[in-house]
Amino acid sequence: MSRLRVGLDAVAARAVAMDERSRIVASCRGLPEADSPSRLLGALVAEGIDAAAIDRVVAILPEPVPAETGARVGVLRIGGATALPPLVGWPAGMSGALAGPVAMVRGGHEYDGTPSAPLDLAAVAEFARRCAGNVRAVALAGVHGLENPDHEQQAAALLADVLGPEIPVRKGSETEAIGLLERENTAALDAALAEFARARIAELGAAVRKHNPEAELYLVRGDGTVLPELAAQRHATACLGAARAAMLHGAARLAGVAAAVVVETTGGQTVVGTTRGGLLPESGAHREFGGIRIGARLPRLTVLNRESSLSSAVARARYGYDDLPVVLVGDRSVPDAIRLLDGDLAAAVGAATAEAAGSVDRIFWQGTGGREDSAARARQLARDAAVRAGADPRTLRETPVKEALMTYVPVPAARLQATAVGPILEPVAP
Amino acid sequence: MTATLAQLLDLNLVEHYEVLAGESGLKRPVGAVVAGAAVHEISELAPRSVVVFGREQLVLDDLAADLAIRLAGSAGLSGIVAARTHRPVPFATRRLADRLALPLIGVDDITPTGVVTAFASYVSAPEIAGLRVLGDASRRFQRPPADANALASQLTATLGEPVALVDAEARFVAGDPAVHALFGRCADPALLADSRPVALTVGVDGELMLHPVQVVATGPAVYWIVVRRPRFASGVLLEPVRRAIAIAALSFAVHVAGEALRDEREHRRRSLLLSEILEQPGEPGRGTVERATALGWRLAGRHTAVQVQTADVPAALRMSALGTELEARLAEHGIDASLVERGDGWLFWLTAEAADPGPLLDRLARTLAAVEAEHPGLRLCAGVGRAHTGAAGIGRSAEQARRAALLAHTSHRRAVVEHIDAGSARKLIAGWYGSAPLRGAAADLLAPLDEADPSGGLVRTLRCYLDSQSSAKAAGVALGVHRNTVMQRMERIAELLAVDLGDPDDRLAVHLATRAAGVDWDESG
Amino acid sequence: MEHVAESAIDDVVRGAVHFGSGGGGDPYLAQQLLLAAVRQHGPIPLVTADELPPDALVLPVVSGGTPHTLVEKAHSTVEAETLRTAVEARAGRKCAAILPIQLGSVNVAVPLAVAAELGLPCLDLDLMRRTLPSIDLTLLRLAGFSVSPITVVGGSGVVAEFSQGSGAVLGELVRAVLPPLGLVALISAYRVTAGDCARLGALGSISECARIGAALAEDGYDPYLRACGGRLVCTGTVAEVLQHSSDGWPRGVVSLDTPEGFVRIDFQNENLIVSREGTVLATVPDLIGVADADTGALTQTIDLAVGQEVHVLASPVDERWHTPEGHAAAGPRAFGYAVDPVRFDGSTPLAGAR
Repeated sequence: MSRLRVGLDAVAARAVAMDERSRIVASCRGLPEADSPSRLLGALVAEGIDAAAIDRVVAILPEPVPAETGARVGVLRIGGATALPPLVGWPAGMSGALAGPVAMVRGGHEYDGTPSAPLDLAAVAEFARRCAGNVRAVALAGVHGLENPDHEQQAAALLADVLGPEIPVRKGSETEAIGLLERENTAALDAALAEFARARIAELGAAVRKHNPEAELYLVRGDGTVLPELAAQRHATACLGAARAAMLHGAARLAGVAAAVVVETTGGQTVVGTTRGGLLPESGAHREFGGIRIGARLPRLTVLNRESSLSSAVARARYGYDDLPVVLVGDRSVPDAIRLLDGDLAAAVGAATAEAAGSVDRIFWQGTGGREDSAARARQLARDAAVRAGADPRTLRETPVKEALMTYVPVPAARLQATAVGPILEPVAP
Repeated sequence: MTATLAQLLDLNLVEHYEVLAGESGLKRPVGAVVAGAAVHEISELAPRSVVVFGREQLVLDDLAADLAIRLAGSAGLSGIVAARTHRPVPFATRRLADRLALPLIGVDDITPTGVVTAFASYVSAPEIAGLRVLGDASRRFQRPPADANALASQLTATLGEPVALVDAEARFVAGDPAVHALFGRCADPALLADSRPVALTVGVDGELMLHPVQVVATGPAVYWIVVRRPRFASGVLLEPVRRAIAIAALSFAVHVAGEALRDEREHRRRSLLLSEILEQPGEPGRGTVERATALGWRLAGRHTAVQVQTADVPAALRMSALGTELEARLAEHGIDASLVERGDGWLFWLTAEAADPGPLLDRLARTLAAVEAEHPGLRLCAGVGRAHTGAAGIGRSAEQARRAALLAHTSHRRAVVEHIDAGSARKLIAGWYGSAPLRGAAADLLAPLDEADPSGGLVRTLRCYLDSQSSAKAAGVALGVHRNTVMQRMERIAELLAVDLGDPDDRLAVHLATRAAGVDWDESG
Repeated sequence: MEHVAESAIDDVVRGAVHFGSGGGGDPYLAQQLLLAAVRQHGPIPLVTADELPPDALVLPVVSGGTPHTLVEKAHSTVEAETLRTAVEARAGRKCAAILPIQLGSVNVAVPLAVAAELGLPCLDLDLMRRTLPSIDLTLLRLAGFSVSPITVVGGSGVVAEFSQGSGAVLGELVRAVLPPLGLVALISAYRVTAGDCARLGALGSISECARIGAALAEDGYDPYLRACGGRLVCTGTVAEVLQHSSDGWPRGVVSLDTPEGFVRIDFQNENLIVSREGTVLATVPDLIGVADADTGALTQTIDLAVGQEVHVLASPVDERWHTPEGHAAAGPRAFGYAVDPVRFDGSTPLAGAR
């Protein structure tokens, strides 16, 4: 009996069950916004599949509206720019709804990981007392926290002591991104959404385990790869953009191709994107959430209106890979393209077949080992992150390490970016 | 006759060069090679020139390189040579050279005058390069090479291209396996069997040059030298390259004439004598007995014959060498035997009073396993006949050994030894396997599995599963896969086969069929 | 323009990116810094040199460091106060206004933020009229001023002063002290009065950024090109971004695939030369910008991604750089390229002057 994985697209209310050979064995179409993810799963099972054979459920949940669903958070900054306090650039609506106590304390690190100043634990404790009873979650971020997360960890431990285990604490160093503001904003929004994310993911998790106690739940990330259930509860912002990303991967898989330019038309708008090697090429631009910039990057997409020329957009999406096939989702027509009959299932299929990935994007100070050593460390960090996200370490694929050198002050340091991606580790057969 | 930049580079006159871009222009004729003084003076150079810049005059990733390429393109130059940097040449620069088909060559630190001097004489008179190759060949092959590997490496050094040595049946002997593989793809091996062999050029673009190694000038080729044709080997340079290979072939023939013929004579002597003994209806004549005695063979007494058979042989392994090795290994395991090549294997017999074949089977199995371990991909099996008396008994036991070897072949395992014992069930099976119509039916039965999986994986799984008394776990262990995989494959097999594996009769038929599958039957038996 | 209010921030930053010529730091950081300053201190007053007494001392300010570390630890308010105290102590008098040293996203935002924090007005002029990678490359130097005294304030409260010396050496020294300071510092240089600024010529800097930034926000490039007097050089797809370190700044090349052939942009910290198949189309000191074709936003060259569709836009720099002295200091040869300067429109700059 083949094992099944289920892709749940709770945005469009579509669900598919696929066997180990990635063939659709059942699908169901519900009512968007009316059917909850667990009901959608139930409806899929009612199509006649063996619920006990479901090994894995990969879900796309509707994106939260932060000002409505978020809780009030306290934000702690460790070291760095007092000229630029936390949350100061947030739109008024967002800070009004979410901002609790804010503090900037001494501490943080330099680019090479050495402490700039000792962590001011008394100030952290004072901040914790201000938060107690006032906030539902806390975020903190330290300068160069990716290079050295030590002060963030110390502060998080102290906050947990004072506030107790019920108050989630999110750290900036949990986000792989250059830029203190980007990591801080990500941590603050993840903290604000922590309770909401935990509740709805836990509810879906319970529904999944009702069908098969051994089944694993994953959520689709903004790049179309997965986050394990518990990690997804911690990082609600990581799942922004999941529906479109899963659609891009899923369309290619439905068309039976490994890489493709995908053209999706909905209403008057056409979006052209590329999936290649299980990844979406990045645009380099940051994702924004409620007008707030976060650490995640946007995939490279071209948005066209009805009149725009599609051929040049396809040529650009293909760039460097001239034989990429074009897959169509929706009613726009393109010569020599693969048109999907079940295009509305693409995101659900993308979820069911999603892989796991890990990335690194930070400054590497070149010690005695030189560039090769830095690149090796970057690749290892990316592989580790992919394995934490659920990838099978034996089948990981890696992108070449992208290097950007430091400008304006010539120093032997470079920003390195690398990604590892691969199939999800299969559970051991009983 | 003018040289092209491709030819000049292939002559290895400049070490460590790299064609960075503009590869399609390498076939342009080169009129002159000149040292460049400055980028803007390129326009004043004669068409067809190759200009060589030093590190001071041109840096390849500098934007001056773009200008140099464009000026060279419009002046009709045949290439730019410049010092290589450890930095990559920008895409825009490379694609510009590609578009203008202007070769851009990076060289390691060498002065422009050094490059110009190295190329100059060949540009003005390309045939000089031919003399260089010929001179090099006669110097290297003045003495016969010590062995086939030495031949291959010395010829590679002369021509700068990989070389393979193959035997007359196109089997790989020494050198570069990739060249052998290329030969397999682009030429008919039957070419090599020509009784009056001559040098050949094969392949769509004539990319392989073949030359026979003949021990007797008018005789067949014992080996062939296969060379990937150097790119410079065209026009006036083709003939010198051919001659260089001929020199190598002649030199190697001298080496072969000595050793190989001696071996062959010995094997032929043994085979002939064995045929005499086996085919003679009565007792052997005196001459036969004397020759047998000279070889240490015993004709009187009770003989137990053993046929050793190869089931899978890696291409690089030669049968005569394998026979010698088997003999040595048998001796190590206490079996003192003199092997005679026969069919796909070797026959020998032991003469003793003891009737119990048990220890013999065990030693044989260990010997075969030891030889297999030395050669990845090699699979051996053996059959042992019953003991029979006298010279005629050798023949009878040999025939039983041959049948037993066939039976051993059906097991598809490693180092299997089978013994034919009168009245044993195995004899019954051996008879069944001997029937061609039954084997045909077996093949039909399994045909759907072969169609679904031409690699034979499904048949192998089915056989192993039935051998293991339908235990997926045991079959998984034997096949080295998870038992779930075995179960999945069995589900697929059940779908594909038109039989019910739950039915004992069907199961038996299928089991027999799987064991007969893939064995090459000797119909003469 | 009399002050920078919250509503003007986006335009000012967009325009400042124009003067960054592909460098100049992260515009988002600049925008956030200005938002923080304006939200805490109110609109930041701008003054012209004429509005101050001629002998009034002004405080030139530039942010030093690598963009990648600046986004980790932008300046703190303490550094601004320390810088002012050090400069005033040496001069023996108070500073009347902040003077931006260069134009670029971070280095427009930082002087404005410093002005807000110190409660001083910010002069609506600057010393470079674009982003250049060294503190000694200013119009003031061309006019004969010494770059010293230089004051460098690091994040940990360290103050370093270089009281005299030649411009190039001091530029090197400033860069040399940055790594131990954590690659971020607030820097002042030159001894300048409001009168010096008036004589240098006030053409507007922050207000120029706002004007060009507003034009950039409109649809299409025509308003922008009219505002900055520039031209569209080409449109193409990024095929490769190469960068390698050498003795000094990293040198890089962007290869673009355009309908008219391959275009390369040689860059270091900023875009320096744009050429098509060996023909130089424009060089430093004029401005070479790269804009994303989808969003229309000018981008940092180092952030370009392969496959991205971009427009290359060249525009004129302040005419005072197009002198033999200006070219010697900030022409292509000053950056190590054996190429004569070419203006944004493809013309040869000094032809008319000779």
